[in-house]
Amino acid sequence: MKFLGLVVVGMFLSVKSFAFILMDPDYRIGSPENVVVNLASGGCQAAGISNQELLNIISDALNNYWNTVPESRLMMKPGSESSVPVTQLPPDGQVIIGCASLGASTGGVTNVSYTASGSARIRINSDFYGANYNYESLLGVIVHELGHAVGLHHSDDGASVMTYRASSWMPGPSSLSQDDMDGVAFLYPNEKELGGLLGGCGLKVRDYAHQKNQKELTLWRQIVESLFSFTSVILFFIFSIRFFAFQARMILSRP
Amino acid sequence: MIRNGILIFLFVISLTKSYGTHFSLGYHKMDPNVQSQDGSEASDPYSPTISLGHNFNAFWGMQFSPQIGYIKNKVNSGDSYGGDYKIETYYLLYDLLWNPFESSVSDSTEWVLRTGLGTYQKSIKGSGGTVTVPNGTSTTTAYRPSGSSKSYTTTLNLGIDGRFNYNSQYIKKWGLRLESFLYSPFQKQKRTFAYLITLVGYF
Ligand SMILES: [Zn+2]
Repeated sequence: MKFLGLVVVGMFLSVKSFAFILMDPDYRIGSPENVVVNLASGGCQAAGISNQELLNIISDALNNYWNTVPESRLMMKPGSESSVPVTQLPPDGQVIIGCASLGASTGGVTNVSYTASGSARIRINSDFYGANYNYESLLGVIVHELGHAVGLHHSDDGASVMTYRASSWMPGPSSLSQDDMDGVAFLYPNEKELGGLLGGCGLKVRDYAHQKNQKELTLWRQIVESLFSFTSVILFFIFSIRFFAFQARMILSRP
Repeated sequence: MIRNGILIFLFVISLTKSYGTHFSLGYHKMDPNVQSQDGSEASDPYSPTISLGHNFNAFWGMQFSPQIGYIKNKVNSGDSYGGDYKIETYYLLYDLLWNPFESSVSDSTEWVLRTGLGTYQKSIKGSGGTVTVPNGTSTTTAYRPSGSSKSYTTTLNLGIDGRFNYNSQYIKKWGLRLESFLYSPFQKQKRTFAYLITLVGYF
């Protein structure tokens, strides 16, 4: 039995597993391409943090962390102070952040709606992050709590911003870890476009919620759509390259 | 996506005079600037990749070089919950080849530039189940991902092919391919580079 135990331990050690963990299999934030992160009514002003300071940190946590995953359509933007108190969930597709006294050992607490198109509220511990707060540590806790808001739970990977371990990157993360990025890509993948010939590239004008209600295309429709888009993409490139090659040759052939 | 790719591949082969099928083997690496445990920047691992493509004579002396490929994604992580996740990537590249040095197939060495668009389909699969994770001063039940999630990302491609003579009955030439990919070119925050280095055989 001892031998078996050793083998099992050895296998676990040799497997380079990676594991983002979810709050709930079915929870997703609503309208992930356009999530608004507002301040709860009053923000953290009672704790001595101005709305502008808090929005700056939120903006940092979104633009340099959760919005940076190329394989995900998740895109969140900072909003403004809302009328929703931190004790209530905001409307779907929104996150609110405010402060509350949470006792000694907690940085923050996030509650989510546990629905497929939900919302979340984040309470930052004013006992910790009051008037003498440090930017890096408040950024770290907001990045972590926003991870819960989009549906990620605690990771055993010390590199993850969702880790519960004491890691030497703390208090302020330098970026997301591979696990965090994979988690967001899993929860909010880019939709396929043009019959799968192209993927999400940022030029989004369509309403995905509406698109999802459409029926599956038939195989023939897919082939025709694919050939059409394929031809247009190729022609576009042929013409643009031809143009640049022509220009380059004109310049090179000058005496 | 793969089915469409194969259908189009066959369709184009049936219409166009064949020039050269190529098979490549090498590594793909993303440059995502991720955090390691000590907060330093972790390097994305080199993930093995294979691809199959064909060069067709297109217009104005250019060639069209579609490729279909597969990446077995390797991941750097220190997690110990278990190893039942799988990440893999299929890609379609629609590159045009441009020969600015006017070399010909009969030359012993050719250098050709390639540029175009690509589609990456990354799938993350998990077998589900629950785990108990620390939460505050106690623990709580959390969930492993279950099922497969496929994400499609468009890339802009730029690379160079070196081709060298090889006297073999089966392989006409061998080559080296270096290619870079810009993921999500239109979204500043998500823009990320990836690189590919492969050995290529031309049949
Ligand atoms: Zn947490």
